[in-house]
Amino acid sequence: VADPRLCLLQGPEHMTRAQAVMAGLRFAAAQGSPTDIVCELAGGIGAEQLAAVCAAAAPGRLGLVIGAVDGTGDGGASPERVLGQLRSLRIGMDLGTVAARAMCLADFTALHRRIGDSPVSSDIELALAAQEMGLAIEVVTTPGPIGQPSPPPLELLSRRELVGLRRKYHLVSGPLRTVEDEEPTGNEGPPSVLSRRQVVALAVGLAALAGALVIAPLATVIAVNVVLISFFMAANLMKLVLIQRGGTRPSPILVHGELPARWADQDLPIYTVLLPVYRESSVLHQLVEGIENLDYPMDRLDVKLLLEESDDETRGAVASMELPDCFEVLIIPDVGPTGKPRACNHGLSRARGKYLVIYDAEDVPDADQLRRSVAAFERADPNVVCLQAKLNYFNRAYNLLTRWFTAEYSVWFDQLLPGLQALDVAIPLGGTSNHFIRQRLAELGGWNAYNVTEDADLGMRIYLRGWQTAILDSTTYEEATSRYRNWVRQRSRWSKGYMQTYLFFMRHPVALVRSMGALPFVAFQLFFGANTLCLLLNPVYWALVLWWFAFHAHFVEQIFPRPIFYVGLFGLFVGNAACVLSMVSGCYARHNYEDVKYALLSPLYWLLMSVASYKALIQLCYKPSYWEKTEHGFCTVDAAESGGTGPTPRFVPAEPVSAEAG
Amino acid sequence: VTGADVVTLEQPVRSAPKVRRAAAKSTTPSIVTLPQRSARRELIPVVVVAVVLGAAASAWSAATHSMVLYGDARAHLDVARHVTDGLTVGLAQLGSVWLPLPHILLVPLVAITPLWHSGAAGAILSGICFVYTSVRMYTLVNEVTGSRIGAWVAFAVFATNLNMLYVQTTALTEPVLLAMLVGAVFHLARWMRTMSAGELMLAGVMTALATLSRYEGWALLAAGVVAVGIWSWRRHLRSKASQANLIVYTVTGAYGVLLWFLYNLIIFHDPLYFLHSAYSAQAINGAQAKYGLLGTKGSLGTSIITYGWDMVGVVGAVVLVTGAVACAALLLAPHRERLRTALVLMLLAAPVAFEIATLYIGQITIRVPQLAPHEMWNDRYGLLALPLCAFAIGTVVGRWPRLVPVAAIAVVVGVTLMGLGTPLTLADGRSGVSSATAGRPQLIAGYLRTHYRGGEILADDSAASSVMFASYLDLKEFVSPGFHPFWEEALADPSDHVEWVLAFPGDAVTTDLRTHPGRFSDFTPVLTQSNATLYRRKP
Repeated sequence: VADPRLCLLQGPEHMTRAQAVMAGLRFAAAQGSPTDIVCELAGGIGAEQLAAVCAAAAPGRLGLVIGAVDGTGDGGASPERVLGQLRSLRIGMDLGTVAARAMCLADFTALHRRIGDSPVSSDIELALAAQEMGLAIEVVTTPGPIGQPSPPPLELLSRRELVGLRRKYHLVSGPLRTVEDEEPTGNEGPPSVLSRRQVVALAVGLAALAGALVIAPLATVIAVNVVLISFFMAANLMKLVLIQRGGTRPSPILVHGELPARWADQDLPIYTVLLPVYRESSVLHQLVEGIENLDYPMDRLDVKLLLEESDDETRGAVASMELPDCFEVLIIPDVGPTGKPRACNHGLSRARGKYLVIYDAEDVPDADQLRRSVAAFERADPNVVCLQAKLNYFNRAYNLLTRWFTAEYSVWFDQLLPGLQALDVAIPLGGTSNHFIRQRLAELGGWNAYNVTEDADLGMRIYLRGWQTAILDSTTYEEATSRYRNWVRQRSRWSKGYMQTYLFFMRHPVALVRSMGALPFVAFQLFFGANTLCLLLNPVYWALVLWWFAFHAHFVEQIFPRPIFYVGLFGLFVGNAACVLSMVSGCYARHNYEDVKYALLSPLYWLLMSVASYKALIQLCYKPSYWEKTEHGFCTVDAAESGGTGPTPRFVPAEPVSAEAG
Repeated sequence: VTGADVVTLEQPVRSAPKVRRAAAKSTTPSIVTLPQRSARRELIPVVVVAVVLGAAASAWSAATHSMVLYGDARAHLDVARHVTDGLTVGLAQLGSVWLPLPHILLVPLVAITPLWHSGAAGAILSGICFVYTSVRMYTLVNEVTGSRIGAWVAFAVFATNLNMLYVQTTALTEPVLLAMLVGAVFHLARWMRTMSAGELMLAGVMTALATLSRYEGWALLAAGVVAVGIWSWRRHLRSKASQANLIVYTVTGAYGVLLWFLYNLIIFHDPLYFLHSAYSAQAINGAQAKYGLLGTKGSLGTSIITYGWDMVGVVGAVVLVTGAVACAALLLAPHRERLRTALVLMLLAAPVAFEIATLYIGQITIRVPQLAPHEMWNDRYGLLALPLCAFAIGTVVGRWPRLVPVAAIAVVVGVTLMGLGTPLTLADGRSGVSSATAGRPQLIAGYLRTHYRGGEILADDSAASSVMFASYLDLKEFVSPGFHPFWEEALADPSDHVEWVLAFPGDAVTTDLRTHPGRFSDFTPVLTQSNATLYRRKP
């Protein structure tokens, strides 16, 4: 290499590029070099080309070249092109190559100072840091750097690293991938509930338990009891933490009432509305009317009415109706797993909107919900790809069950979910009124058709991608299931879905904890796992308590050694009381004062939930993907209004309860 | 990539994070809860002063061995200790004589033997309660008047009271009750302003804890229900909301009472066992009445005078008079928020009314030096009037800040006068009927401490507990009536079960000794003091 401006530095073998650049900069500074442009190469380059590049470069402009000089360069490239390449900071990414153009030394130094001692792959960091500093990042679709036929394989990031990067650079970066992406998603996965490894683990566990029961029955029962009660208490504690966090930490983004109106109609993006309908001809009119009543220009709406091929009744009803122009009726062919997610995936594949929302047939969203959602998406952190509107019921006062159900929903959407959001852990979506950035949803692969709570599953996958779900302060009113059997059916489906989701993501628990980080993993255990388990255990423990009170049975005392007994007592009398109070506060939050006295009876409601959970557990064993259809239409909005019982002003925004998003 | 591009890019680029921060500033509404934070910071000096006062009092109490002067203080320590130490242990050992919360809170502390014997466990618990109550006195007045100076005055009246400072170095249960009382009143006052369900529930929870601390808490519950009802009604809330408020507060507040009934039902098979057990207030005061020692029973005048003298002794005449005038001013003079102030006064006065009412119906005994039989007994009950006086004086100053000098003089003169003599609660502990040391057979305790080499001791703890405590032995070395079936077995055949027998005049052991002298033929008396006798099995 003849050019006197060139100097080759020999670094240790596994130097990252960032380290190499820093070393070069230090060297240049020590030499008092007149360097003002630093270039970096991603791949190898021949010595000849390097010489040519140096010759072509303006004197005094080229100071430092960092890159592997391995002599295997592309001989056919012209010196100009190589110079062009040399002046580019090339970083391979999976969607192409991000290039930062040559920059002044001060910028480059600042760039590396920004990166600091990051443990993360330098390629990705360099790109992000450069982009953040406004250093002309552009994505070019050319193949890989000189000398290499294809981009170098990217180091995959764990979710934690990815989130760290995104947080550091305030970026949403679709192309970045996490380890989970290499795992089969639910859509590709087999519809079996347990993976083979899980079956083995379960079998081994059960065998060990049986063995222990034979060898030391009492000690085993006590040990199991200790584990369960600890889990129970931890789950309760988690709930309290969530309620406290959800109540006291206002989320950063607020959609003011007047804000959505600021958007001129023509500026609003196309909004896709998915309406999966199955055997619900009775509420079709209400549904169409609801869409027409939305405060959103009809020509910006892309409504997909999703009908099942087998559902002749609804198809007939739709055929006889005159639908607005923005409606497109899609008939879902009867192939593959049945249920809402399949229909929604079809809708997604045909969707045109920038944003997309899913409503159930009986939903009555706040009229300005779509505008609010647009405003919230525009203002939210770019990582937020999904907004969950709050759900509530229009037939709250129909009977005791609907009152309980409403109070529970208020706790869920006004306290628990904001709490999860504040803790920055995975949020299970509610089945309806989820607003998505359509492109992101498509990148996620849509809904998992094998999971009967596709929404909870999706919430988890959003989280693992490093994206976020936020709560939108707008309410969608639904019809609360008002008949006990119907309610149990619906709840058993939810319960089953939670079990499925939990088991699915626990297929690789170690990888999961590595990827999520410890706190979100614990939150996942206590929210997805323990919630279901607690419902299964509640009746068992209550029966034990009653038995002991009634008969002072000795064996109950035996399996509850004193410390555990006291912890259990605490849970019974204090934990349950706290849960009842949270239901009460749910009633207050929604100004449903007359429900307060019913909320005090919520332990009875929990018993019902336990019944549903047992049903779910049994179903999980013999028909895991079976979709328990919830009947709707027992109470329509008009009926609820004319009855004078419902508090819901139709299509009028409800009182702002709390404000969160982002 | 062209050269021109390079040139443009060499121009300094504005840092993107800065731009983003600026953008965030302009659009994100500030919903940071600043006032709360600053309020929290404002409390730091209050906490520091309260901790210093409480710790100094405890240090004095420890240095002068005054932590366990009261028989009741010792009994509270013992009850809590019984949960972890004794022939049978467990929560059932909390018994039904006293409400359980103070003992439950003491359990982890008295499990450490030195903290139990020295009484430091009580000082720690009561000290924490004292600091909390002092801070809440400050925040309560601040909440009602928005005045810091008023809040400081209320704090000063409460936290410099020498009787309060002494009692918070003992295991007596008044500090726990006062903490829950003032806490509940604070949250109720706050609820009246914010109408937040959370505050109402917190008030309910604190009330429930008060009802589990002392029976005065039950009066608070009743007054709280009235206050919530009146306030909801006066705020013209829709009747559904008023109803909901009442339900929430009542159910939350009464939950403790319910648990107490349940506990009595499960352990003693009678939900009202605490009312008519052998050591209930009723039983004890019934005996007093029989000897004509319960002058307050049936006489409202005597009851008021007795409690009045008690308040004079404990709260101090100067503070008491100032407080009474302040109460009158707050109730009569027109000012902003008169109703809320009046309701707070009613809530804080509820325990005082309860004391007078229970004196009147003969459920409690208080003896003050000014009235016959010129003794001291249970004089610490006067402390329940202290938060009322502190609040009234602080609020008056908050409303009319020109009165600061008057309040300051009242506090200083009150403390000085009290400091010149012995505070009443301390005197009662030293030489009143409440005293644990009065008539304690120190010799027997000392003998046991030095000569005990193992083996169980038969003793009726209702009479012998002071000796048991002073002997420094673990409670599990004693066979007492609470321990079924050990007690019955040991009484039936003492020589087979115990090494020592401790008999006090009139107790269960002496009774058995008299009726079945043959059973004790193997035992020989080793020491007698104040009619109490210690026997040891013959070798």
